[in-house]
Amino acid sequence: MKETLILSKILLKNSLNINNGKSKLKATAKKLLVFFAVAYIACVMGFLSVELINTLKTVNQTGIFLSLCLILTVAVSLIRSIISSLQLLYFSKDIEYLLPLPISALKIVLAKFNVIIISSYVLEIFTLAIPLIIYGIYMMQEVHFFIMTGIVFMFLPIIPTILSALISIVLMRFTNIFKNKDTVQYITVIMAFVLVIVMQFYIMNNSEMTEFMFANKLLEVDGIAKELSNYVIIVKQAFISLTEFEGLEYVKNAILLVGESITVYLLTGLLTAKTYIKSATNITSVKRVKNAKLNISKRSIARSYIDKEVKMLFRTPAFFLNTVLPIFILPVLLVLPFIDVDMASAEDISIAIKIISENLQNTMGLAIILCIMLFLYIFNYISVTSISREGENAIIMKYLPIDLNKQCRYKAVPGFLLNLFPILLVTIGIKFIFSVNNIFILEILLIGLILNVFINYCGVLIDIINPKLHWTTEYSVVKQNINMLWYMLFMIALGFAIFAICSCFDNIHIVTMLLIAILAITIAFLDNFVKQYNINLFKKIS
Amino acid sequence: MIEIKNVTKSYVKNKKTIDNLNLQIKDGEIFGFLGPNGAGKTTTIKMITGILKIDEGDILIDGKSIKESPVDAKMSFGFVPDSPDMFLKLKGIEYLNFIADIYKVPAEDKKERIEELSKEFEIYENLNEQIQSYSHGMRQKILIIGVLLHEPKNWILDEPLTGLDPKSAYDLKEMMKSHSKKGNTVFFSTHVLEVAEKLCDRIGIINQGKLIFVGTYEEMKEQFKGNNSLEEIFLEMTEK
Repeated sequence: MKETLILSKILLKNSLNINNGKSKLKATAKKLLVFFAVAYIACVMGFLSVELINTLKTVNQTGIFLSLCLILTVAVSLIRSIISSLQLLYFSKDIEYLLPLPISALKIVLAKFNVIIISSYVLEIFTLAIPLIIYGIYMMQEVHFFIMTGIVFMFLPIIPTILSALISIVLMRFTNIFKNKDTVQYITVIMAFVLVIVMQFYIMNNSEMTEFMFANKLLEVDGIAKELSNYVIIVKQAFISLTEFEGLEYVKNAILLVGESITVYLLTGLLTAKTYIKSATNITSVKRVKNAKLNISKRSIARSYIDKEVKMLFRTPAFFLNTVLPIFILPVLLVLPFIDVDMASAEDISIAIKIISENLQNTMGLAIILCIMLFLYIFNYISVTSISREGENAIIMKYLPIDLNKQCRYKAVPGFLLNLFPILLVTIGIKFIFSVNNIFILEILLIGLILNVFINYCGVLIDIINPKLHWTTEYSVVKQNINMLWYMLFMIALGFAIFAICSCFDNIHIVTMLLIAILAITIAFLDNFVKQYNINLFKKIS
Repeated sequence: MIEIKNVTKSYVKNKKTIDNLNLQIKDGEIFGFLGPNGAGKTTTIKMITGILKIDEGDILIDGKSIKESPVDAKMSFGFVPDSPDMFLKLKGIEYLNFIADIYKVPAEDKKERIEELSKEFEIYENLNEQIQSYSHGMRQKILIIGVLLHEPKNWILDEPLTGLDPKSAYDLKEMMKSHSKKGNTVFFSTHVLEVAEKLCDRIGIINQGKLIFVGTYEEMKEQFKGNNSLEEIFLEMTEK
């Protein structure tokens, strides 16, 4: 038991990336940031809880609030834990270090279960603890309620979490799809995006519901929840523990919940320990290809270099999901709210389109369109992480027989190519929504393209000056990289500069030529600067 | 030929990591670069290959200055770094295609050389797999093949034998010998004194940024008559 607890503590610290050698100031800043984020979400959940309880009061059904929270907690624990158990049980590197230690397979599995359960508690704070405490205070519940809330909080997520872990172990033992780490990352993140889009549609469809309609909707959901609780027995037991305080029924159900949770926890551990160890040592990030024909072809240096960049980008899930996917997903998410409009809004919108069309073809209209384009470019972090993504291997840039300024150009190409999507989205969107002439569209397209070259080249330069080369996980390159913030600030400044230039002229063609000239000259200057001072610019790569 | 002329490098002010280094590695020579940890071996190799800026002096590869004409100088050598964990997401064949294109290997030679070398290093069957699936030794092999692919006159290798199985290590040593016999240069750093003793035509020992010995193994034995093995001589020189 003691060994399991020590191991759980170590695994938990490791998974949370605690003690990673940061300075005290940075660590304190991080803690403060986490505290404020948690406090913010807690406030939102508290506010939503009060709103929901008030709504349910209108139909005199406040008890539904409890069953909703319980069913939500079980559902969230179940879904979230499938992803986190795959990550913790199979894709963390620690199994290679744990196996040679004199610790039994059962203790390793239980320690891993503990970490997954503890991480479930974090979400449960928001889905169960805060809403139930608010409910208790708001409905003036007695002390029994709060004690039972504590017990339910501790034991409710155990069975769903262990079940998720069990599903992961079965999937990993008997299927091949999930044995590839990269494939799992792609599937889970894409599923998450799909879920967000579906939710956004659902919210849009229900955004104009009255309080009474909403309460009735909740009653429908409660009916489903009650039906489900006949099958998910722990929800029923937790509900009785929290509501039926006359007699000892609540104690009996709480004891049952605790007993069942502990039994499932130990039994699953005992049954899966050996299977887990066997399947965990069989994980790979590699798709084996046998007897395939070798593709040996001669290409130009530029083509070969860019090809290498694109392959590395697309084949590394952390990079692909954080730098490529948002370029396509986020504009779609932004456009969605405008798709589903009722007739009244449609009429307003057509009037708005007419007014905008009449006032768009001027220098300020151009400035606004370019700023929209810049805003969409902000989601593209390919160039600004192009050096950092290489990590310590970036030194290869220094000994390859290619000029460093040429390598900068090549590194800017993937970002440029993927930015063609927002350029097309904006130009095609403007052409079809607003009645503007083709010359105006051509001008937007030209400036958009040269702006695309400029920002991607600048992105590479920002990364060269201060690359993040020493990282242990690929996610830290795209999640904890200050260069992305600098890039964002640079884009904002660029937006202001474009506005300033556009506001100085009335003739749209002059502004177009001026912007193209300024951007082209700046790109040429920067390229020459990199050529002249490359050794000093690249000094952090060594 | 590699010529290191009065090279000095400092990472911090008033502390020279490399202090006025002069060294000439002639054509047809295998040169072993030895020294304890932190002596300046990697810094020297990084300056030769253009990874680090040279504070003072110059380095010439076949007469081309790494400072003045870096691209030409880099075309003249092939470098195997100490860590082979590179381009892990590329397939072996993609890496070799990339290197061949960068070093302008003629199209008619490319296929033949890739097939020949990968079969020689017994990695041919794995070329369609991503490098991340390779063992340490296989990763080392793919980097070495990448170097051999463009047939540079000068080989620069940082701890090349680490992680190689006995056969591959033997093959590489034979290749180094054969490369030098053709009048080319091999410059490598190592911690394995026996390798340096048996393989190298000349040895250079660096300690605290200064070259404390350059010569053949026999010359070194002559200089330190009381000691028998290279290990004893090395320890005596570097622990002074």
